[in-house]
Amino acid sequence: MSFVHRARQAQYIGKPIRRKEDYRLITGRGLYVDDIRLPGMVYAAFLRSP
Amino acid sequence: MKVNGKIYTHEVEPRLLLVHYIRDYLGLTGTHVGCDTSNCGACTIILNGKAVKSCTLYAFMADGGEIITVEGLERDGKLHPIQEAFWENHALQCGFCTPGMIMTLHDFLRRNPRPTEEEVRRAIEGNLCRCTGYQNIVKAALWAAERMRTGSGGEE
Repeated sequence: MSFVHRARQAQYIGKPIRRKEDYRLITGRGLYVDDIRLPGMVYAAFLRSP
Repeated sequence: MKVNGKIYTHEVEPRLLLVHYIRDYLGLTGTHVGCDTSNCGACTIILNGKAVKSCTLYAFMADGGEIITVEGLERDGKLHPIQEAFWENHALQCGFCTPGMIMTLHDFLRRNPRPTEEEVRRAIEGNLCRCTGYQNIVKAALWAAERMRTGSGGEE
């Protein structure tokens, strides 16, 4: 059985599929850079000249 | 204050923004900071039944209040219809604006359960998205409204 034939049988071709990364993102569990919290983490702030 | 059903008590500086209280004191990082101008809406949460931009409030202003964040929408492992809608309708790409969009729509759909497309577009004017072009977000909002009206797929 060809790959295409099997894929069609599994009903993936031509069908919308839910993305696997979305579940974390719609439940607020995404880890964007500012969301990362590590033990002993420090923060930097830039004090610029006026 | 009560957040997602739990009571929290903290002593904070008056200048602490509500969004930072939620993210840093409560560890609820689903609510995002996307600008410093109150424009983007990525920080939107529900406070006392209204969608508000948490970057534009001080934490002390929510004292004694009741807050819902995106983390509080799921119930017993079941997604809220709006969350389901975003997933099903590919209404997110990077997902950064998504929590804010969802919270805004949560308030909006409660007030207007039968919106037109135009009304949805107006409702999310305070939420910016750099990825999707809003098309699928609007589709998801209308899908969610339908789902919530016909009672299938979860509670308000």
